[in-house]
Amino acid sequence: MIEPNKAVTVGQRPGVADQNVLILGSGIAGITTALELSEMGISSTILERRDRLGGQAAVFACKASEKCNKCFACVVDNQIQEVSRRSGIRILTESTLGKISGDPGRFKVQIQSGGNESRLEASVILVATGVDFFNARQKPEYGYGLFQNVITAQDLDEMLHAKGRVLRPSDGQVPSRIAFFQCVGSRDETIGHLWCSKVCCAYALRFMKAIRHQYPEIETSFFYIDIQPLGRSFESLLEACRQDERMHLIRSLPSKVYGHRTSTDLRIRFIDPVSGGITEEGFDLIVLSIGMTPREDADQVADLLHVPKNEEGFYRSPPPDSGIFVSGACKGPRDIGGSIIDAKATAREIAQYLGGV
Amino acid sequence: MRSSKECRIAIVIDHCEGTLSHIFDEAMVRYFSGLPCVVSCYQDDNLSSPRRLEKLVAKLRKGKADRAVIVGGSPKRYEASFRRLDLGTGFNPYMFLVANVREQAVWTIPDVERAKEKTKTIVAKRIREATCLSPIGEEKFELSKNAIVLGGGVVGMRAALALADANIQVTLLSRAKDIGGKAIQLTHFYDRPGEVSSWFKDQVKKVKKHPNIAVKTSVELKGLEGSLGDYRVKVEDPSGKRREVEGSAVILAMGNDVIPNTEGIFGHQRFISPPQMEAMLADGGKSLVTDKERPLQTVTFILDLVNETIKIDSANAIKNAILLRENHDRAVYVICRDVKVSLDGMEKQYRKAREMGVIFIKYDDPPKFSLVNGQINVEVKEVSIQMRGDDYSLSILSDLVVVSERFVPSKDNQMLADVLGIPLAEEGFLMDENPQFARVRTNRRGVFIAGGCRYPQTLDESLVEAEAAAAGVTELLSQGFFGYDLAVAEIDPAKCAACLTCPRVCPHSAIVVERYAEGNVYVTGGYEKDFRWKAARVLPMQCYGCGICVSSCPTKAITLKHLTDDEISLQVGV
Repeated sequence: MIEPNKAVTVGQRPGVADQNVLILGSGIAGITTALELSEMGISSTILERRDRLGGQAAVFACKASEKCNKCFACVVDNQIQEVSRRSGIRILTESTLGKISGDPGRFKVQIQSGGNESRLEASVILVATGVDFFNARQKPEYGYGLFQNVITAQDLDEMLHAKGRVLRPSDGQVPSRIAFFQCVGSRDETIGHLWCSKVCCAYALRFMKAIRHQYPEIETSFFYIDIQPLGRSFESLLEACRQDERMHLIRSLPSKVYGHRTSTDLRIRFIDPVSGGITEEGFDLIVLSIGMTPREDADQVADLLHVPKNEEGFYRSPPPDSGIFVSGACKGPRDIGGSIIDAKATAREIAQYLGGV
Repeated sequence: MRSSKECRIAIVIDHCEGTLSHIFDEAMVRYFSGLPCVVSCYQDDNLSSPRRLEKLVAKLRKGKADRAVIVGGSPKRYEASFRRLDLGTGFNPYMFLVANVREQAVWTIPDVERAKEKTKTIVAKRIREATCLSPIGEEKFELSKNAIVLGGGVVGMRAALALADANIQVTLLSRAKDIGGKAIQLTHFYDRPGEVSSWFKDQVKKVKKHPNIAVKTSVELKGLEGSLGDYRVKVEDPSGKRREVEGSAVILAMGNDVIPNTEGIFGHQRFISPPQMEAMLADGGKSLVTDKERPLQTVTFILDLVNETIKIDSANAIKNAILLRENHDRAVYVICRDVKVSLDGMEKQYRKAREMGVIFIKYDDPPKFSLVNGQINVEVKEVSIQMRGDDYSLSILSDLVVVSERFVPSKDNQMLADVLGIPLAEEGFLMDENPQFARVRTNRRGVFIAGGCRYPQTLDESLVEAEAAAAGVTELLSQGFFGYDLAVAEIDPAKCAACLTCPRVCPHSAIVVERYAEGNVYVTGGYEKDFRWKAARVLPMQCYGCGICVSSCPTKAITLKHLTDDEISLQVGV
């Protein structure tokens, strides 16, 4: 039905099939790149340190309220299923990177899987190692690890993902007043983190929408510095949150959490932007929106592969002829959607480097 | 339905890692084996494991069956492996059915005996349904390695370069006299040293010199039609001459429009737009003076009156505030609702701006403006001052006030949405097919979106989008052909009344109805002897097999090949 064109080069890509891309990390960026590469006929090996695929986002729960709030959590499940089925993608879980030798385009890599050691050859190495979440214990004033009902947003996400319910850890009851603290580990020079994690505002607001939908009686408060928008659907999300009478957006970061080890109730102290004075308010669940930090072993990987870093410690893209590529949140905080877009762009760069397209 | 004697069904029982073993006891297996047409029965513990699947396939290949019913979990668990992979079972991929007893019986009915009964019913129905399965074929057609990029801004340019580097012939269409778009207004990057102009000129040069890119400027978009492999963009040049540009795929990167804020007091000459501010800084600050050559001492940026959830203005304001302090020693105020720092390195820029003496004021209620002796008085309540209980406003006498332009969807969006059948998002920007799963891809196969026509974003974010869209096109064209199976809708022309219901409901613009009379004149009565209504036709490479047209067709002329009415009747037991 369509005139064949001379420019068509069906099957004229010798060598591409023998190429192997070693992908470090099976988070959303790594998986998406593997899938995109497989679409272009390039095989890859995914190396994952843990025993499961999906990285940080794999434990996220759906945050739909009366409608989809576009949190992208379902994408991760979908991509994990897809990647385990696709031919041409080899997956090595519970495996870590050993020594690397060889030249760009022909790396020889040692892999440690459990106690075993194996070798493989890779034309390209993609670093998609992602980030660590901030350790909330480094902000002792919020009492994480001390008070049972102070949890991180990721704890809450795992709870919602596993049990489908929001419960106070202290007694397993549904909380009545929840506070979200923003910028825990982000935008904070006292811990040397002078960057915004970009996603937490939208993440927490979506979370609150989902909770308010499931439990209309719960009162929620959102303590923030500045609300950071995220993409196209954010405007309507923010408007819906502002309209909700039981959702209080408070421009103030609490200074301290007070409580008792055995008690359910917690008090927080903050400057109330309405009255202007220092105020205390009681909550029975406090959720810390912890930010993203460079991974603990970021330096090791960077040294091993000669990946440059920026001032914050996130990776920068190495020169294009190095045969090493970087994708996803290890380049700096980003959301699932942003990582997917980034992975697609990286897959194209890799294909181009390999001369396949 | 064909005679059931011709069918030889294999039953494959998946114990789902032992979770269903209490249902599939010996009696149950005997019952399955005794059902009509069943010639073999296999059991496995976990069919989602590729190795187990391989073993099963080997058994199926040796057996006598010509189709299979999988009894176990949800179809999702098996569809990809049984349908999309060529397993070498010797069966057509559509000769498989799934009986989802896990979700429909075992999980929903706590009582084991009743769950078993339900399991029997489900399987019996699926066996009956399996008897009317028929193989569905595949087709493929060649794709030329060429593409069209609409929009000559930075996003279009980056997409064109990415495609051209992948050996795809690109036609870059631009409405403006020259390529470049709005980024030409920028003078500095916010996050790195170096001027935009040199980077920008370099990009333009690369595009113009690339042997695989043909640039056509000063063309007005008039229409877009066709389908994957055969898109035709109609453009008109200034002389009114129309022509068609062809390509296998299209990237829409027309950007967004801006509406300057000039209503009421904003029309005063001391109010300027962000691009005007950029221009003033571009000439080394020579134009940072009044018409009487007196320096403009105080510059105030007003943010978040419009575009509250777009980060562009905030990034530019912080960048320019630093330049004004650093190079020109002006007093600078940035008045906003929220400081947008969710960009790489922006928190540091924000900190630097404050260190240099830029004053940030956050408001809940929008500021008020008045003219005082030729200057603009900006009256605003700072939220932290309100915090002290005092309710008074700050008054900032400004020589220059920078107010944002409103970012609005391009006027082409509506037209493209109409002719391509791409939905618009609530604000009027072009919609991805599925914002989660298929970013930058539209619901029209072969049409991609990037940059401001999707949503206005900062330069970096838009450029990554451009590359992702280019990756989508490259992926599609890299094989040189597009293969698809015919599990799609099909219209029986004899039954079609050409009522135009199906093309209207189709979300993927996959149905065409040829005009049924010369010159599209409606013909009434007294048809010629041989006159025949032309029927609607499904373009199989565009069809996603969703079935919406099937249920809407008043004459039941449409069948979904992989889910026929017969199959549905048997499923519901009619």
